Amino acid sequence: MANSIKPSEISEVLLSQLREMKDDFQFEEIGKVLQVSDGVVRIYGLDKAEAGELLDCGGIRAVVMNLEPDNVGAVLMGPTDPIKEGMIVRRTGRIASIGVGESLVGRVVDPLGTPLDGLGPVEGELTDMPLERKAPGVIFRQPVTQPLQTGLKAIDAMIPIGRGQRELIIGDRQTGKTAIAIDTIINQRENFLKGDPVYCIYVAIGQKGSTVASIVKTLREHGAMDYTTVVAATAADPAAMQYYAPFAGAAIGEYFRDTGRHALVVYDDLSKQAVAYREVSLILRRPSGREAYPGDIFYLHSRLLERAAKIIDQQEVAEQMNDLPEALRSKVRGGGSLTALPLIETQAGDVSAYIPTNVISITDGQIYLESALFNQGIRPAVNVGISVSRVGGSAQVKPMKKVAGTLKIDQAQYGELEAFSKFSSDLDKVTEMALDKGRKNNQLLIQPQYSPMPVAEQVAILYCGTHALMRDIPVSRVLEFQDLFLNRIRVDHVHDVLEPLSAGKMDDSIGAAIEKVAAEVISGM
Amino acid sequence: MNESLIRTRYARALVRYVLECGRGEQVCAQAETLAGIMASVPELKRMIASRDIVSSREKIALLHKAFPEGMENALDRFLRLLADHDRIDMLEEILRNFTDQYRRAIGLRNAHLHIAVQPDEALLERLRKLVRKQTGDDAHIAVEVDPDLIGGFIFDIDDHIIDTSVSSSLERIRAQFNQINRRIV
Repeated sequence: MANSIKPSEISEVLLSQLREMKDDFQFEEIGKVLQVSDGVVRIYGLDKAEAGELLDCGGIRAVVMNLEPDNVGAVLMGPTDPIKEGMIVRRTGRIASIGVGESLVGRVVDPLGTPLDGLGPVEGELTDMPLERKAPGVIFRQPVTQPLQTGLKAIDAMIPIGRGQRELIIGDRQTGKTAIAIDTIINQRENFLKGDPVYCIYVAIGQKGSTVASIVKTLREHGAMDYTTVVAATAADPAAMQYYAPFAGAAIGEYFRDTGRHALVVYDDLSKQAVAYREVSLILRRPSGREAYPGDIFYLHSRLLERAAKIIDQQEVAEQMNDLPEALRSKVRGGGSLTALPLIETQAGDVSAYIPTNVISITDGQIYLESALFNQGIRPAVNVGISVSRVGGSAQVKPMKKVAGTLKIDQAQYGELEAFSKFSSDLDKVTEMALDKGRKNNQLLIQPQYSPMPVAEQVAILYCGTHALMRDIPVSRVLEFQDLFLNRIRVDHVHDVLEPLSAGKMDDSIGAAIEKVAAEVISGM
Repeated sequence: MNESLIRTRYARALVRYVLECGRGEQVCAQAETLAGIMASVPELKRMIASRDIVSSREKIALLHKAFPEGMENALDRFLRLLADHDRIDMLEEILRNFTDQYRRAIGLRNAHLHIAVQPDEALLERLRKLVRKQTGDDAHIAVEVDPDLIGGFIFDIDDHIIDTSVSSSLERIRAQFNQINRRIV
C-alpha cells in the first residue's frame, strides 16, 4: 500500500507543485514563561491565543485557560519541572482535542489521545473531536426510550437505565461503584456479538496506574476491550490531565453518538475531577467559593453531563446539530445515543456534601451504594429506598416492567418492616410472610461480580420472587434454587420462555411455564 | 484577577506620557535595563515587592543606582507614582508591558538572530523583508553566533519566532520519542 502511486504523484502535478512551493520562512507566534507553579504557567505574549488552545512548551503540551490583558494562564498537560522562567511557548493553532476513529476502540489513551498501552500509535482515519463542545440543543434530542441493560438484576429491575440517560453511581469507598460500571461494560458484549454494539468508554480519573492496568486486564479477559476505549489520567498525571479526562471521554462518546451509534461513558470518578479542577483554579487565582471549589464547579459537571443524549431519529434534523466538528459533518447519522454513568465518592455516607448534591441534581437519577449493605454481603450494595431512575422507567422492557414493577417499593417497605420487626418478638402471619418474601427477594438480587445476566433470565427468576414461588424453601437455599431454576429454563424452555421474554413479550402462558418449572425445582430440592 | 488589567493601565499611561515628553527611546532603554536586572536578580525583585522592610523612598533610591548617568525624569516620576499608589511590587511586569506597548506605538522592532555560523547580508536582508511584510515596520537585527544550534538559525521578533535550528529539531524528535514510548499497561 505504501508503494502504490497516488493521483497527486503524476510528474506534471509534481512539477507545478515544485514551482508553486513557497520557500518563505513561516513565523510562529510565541510567548515567554513568566511564572511556573504546580502545573500552571503564566505566559507573556501570545496576544492572539484562544481559550482552550493547545500550546507547546518545549515539547510539553499546555491548554490556555485564562486570558488576561498582559498574560495568558495555561495548564500543563505534562511535568512541571522542565519548564523554566523565560522559556519559549509556541501556539499550535489547535483547540484541545482528541483524534477519534474506529481504531481507538480497544486502546488505552491519555486525554489527548496519546496511547498508553504500548501498542503503537492509533492508526486509521481519525476525526478531531474537541474536548470542550456544547451539548446538543433541545430540538436535536428525543426522549429516552431504549433500555441499556446492565446485566445486574437489582438495577435492571428497580433502577432501569435508558440509552441517553445520565445515572449517577454514588457511595463511599469500597462499596462496589466501579464494579457496577465494569459489569455494565462487560454486559454490552451481548450487543457487540449481535452486531449492534454499545461502544464503551471508561474514564479513569486520579486512580493508581496499577488499578487502571487491572481494570483493563479484567475488561480484556471478559472480551470487553473489543468495544471499549479506556481514557486514563492517573494520580501521577498533572491535575490538568485529570480535569480534561472526562471531556476526552465525552468527546469519544460523541463521535459514536453523532454517527448514529450507541455509546456508554463511565466517569470514574467525578469527585477526583472536581478536586483537580479546584487545584487548577486556585493556582490560576480564580476566586473560590464553598469548600474552596471555584464558582463554576456546578457548570463544570452540568456541561459535561449534558453531552449525554439520545439524538433525534430524523436524519435531516440531526444533520443540523449545533457545534458539529467540521470533519464529522459528513458522517452524521440520527438515532445515536450517549449514556453517562458518572461516579461520585462520598465521605462517610454524606450525600449532602457540595459535589454529591450538585451531581445528584444534574443527573437523571442515582444508584446509592451503602457500606453497611456491602458488609452484610448484599452485593451490589444498592440502597433501594433512596436510589432512583427518573427517566429509565419508560425505557424498561415490558416483561421486566410487568414482573418487577412493584419490586422497588416492596423492597423499600420490606427494609422498613425489617427494622421495625427487630423490636417485636411476636409477629402476625401477614407480616411474617412479607418479611420472608422480602428476605428471599434480597437474596435473589445478590449477584457475583463479572457475571451479568441476560434480561430474559432476570425476568424469569424475578417472577419467582415477586410471585412468592419460593415460599416453601428457606432463605439459605434461594441461590441454590436460582441456579437449578435457571439451568432448567436454559435447557428446556428457550423457545417458550427465554426467547419471547427477550423479544419483550410476556403473557399468561409464559407465567404458567415459569411457575411449573419453579414447582418442579422446589419439589426436587 | 485584576492585576493584569492594572499593569496594562499603568503601562499605557507611561507610554502616553513619554510620547508627550518625547523621551520615549531613553525611557524605553532604561525600562528594559531595569526589567532585565529584576528578572536576573530575584532578591531585588523580592525586596521591591516587600512592604515592611524597606520604604518606597529607599526602593526608588536603590533603583536610581542602576543608572550612574542618571535616571530619566519620566521614569523617576513613574516610580514615585507607583510608590504613592502602593503598586511598586508590580514594577517588573509593568515595565515589560510598557516596552512592549511603546514599541508597538512607534513601530520600532528589535529582532534577535541566533545562528550557528556568521550570517551573510543576503539572509539578513531577506529577514528584514520578511519583518516588513509581517509587521509593516523596519527591524534592527542583533546577531548572536551560537554553535550549539548545530545548524540553521532562530530569529525572534516580539512574540513571533522562526526556528530552523538543528538543535530544536532534535529536541522535538526526542519529545516525540518520549511521548510515543510512554505507557501504563
